[in-house]
Amino acid sequence: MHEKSNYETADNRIIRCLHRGLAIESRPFITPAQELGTTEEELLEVIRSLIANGFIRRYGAVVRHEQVGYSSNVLVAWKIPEERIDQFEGVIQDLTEVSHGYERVSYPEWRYNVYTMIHGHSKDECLAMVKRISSAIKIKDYILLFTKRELKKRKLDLDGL
Amino acid sequence: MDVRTFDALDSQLINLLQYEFPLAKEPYRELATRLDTTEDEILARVRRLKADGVIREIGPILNSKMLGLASTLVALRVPEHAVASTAQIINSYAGVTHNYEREGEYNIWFTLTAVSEEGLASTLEEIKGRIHPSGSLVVPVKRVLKLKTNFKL
Repeated sequence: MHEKSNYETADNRIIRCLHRGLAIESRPFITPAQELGTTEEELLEVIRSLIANGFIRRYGAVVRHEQVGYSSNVLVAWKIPEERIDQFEGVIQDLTEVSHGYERVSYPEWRYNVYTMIHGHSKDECLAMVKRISSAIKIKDYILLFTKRELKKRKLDLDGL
Repeated sequence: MDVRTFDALDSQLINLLQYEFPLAKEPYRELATRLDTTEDEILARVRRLKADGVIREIGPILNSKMLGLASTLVALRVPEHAVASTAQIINSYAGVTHNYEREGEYNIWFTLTAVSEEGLASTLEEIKGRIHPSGSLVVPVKRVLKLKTNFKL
């Protein structure tokens, strides 16, 4: 038996219920409130506290970026020296074309340690943004991991875990 | 791909739905007041945006790490002819949210989430045992540098 993780020991009923999303109707919080045996007011208060405590990053619409004009994207893996990651973080912070930036584990046979997802209205626009970041940080050690095919993309199935 | 255009009200609405969704009993009535229109008009537009696939969902964007979930990005190297069968195996796991065939040395990249680190490790072993990739990388996040899942119109 392994020691149970925080997720396994917590009561995740509220999170799992909220995660299913809202129906688009005038009073969308009635259904989840009833399911949880509470009132709309109390549920809204719970959501506010989950946001305040960082369990929920934000509450609202998730849009498909390819539908709002960003038809092209590229995952870029960078080799950034440890001591310059903060600087890299600063460079990508205000670029709206960069949606995700992560420092990840690297290996001797794969030294790429920072990953960014870059969006554009075309492949050329993505490439121009990569060049812009590269010259801002003065690092040319990166690899473009263009998508050949989307094999799966869906929201996490919390009930199936 | 055709680039979609939105009228001014749609654009304002999409921005508010992402950034300032009212946590209120009647959120669409509040949005209607802010956008100087009726609740029925707002509801009709939101339903259309969802039906058209512009809006995937309205709900919470969870911080999976805070919730105690374990996750990682995984890259595999498999032969070109095995991509489809590999995808079928990987996609069958509930914890897989994204899976892409990509250009480069490692051609399959997917994200895996589990209820614990142990669960994550055992699922990974199981997947690798079923696929037998010629190479693999497990690259969990050490630090989030930026995470912005909304797009301003």
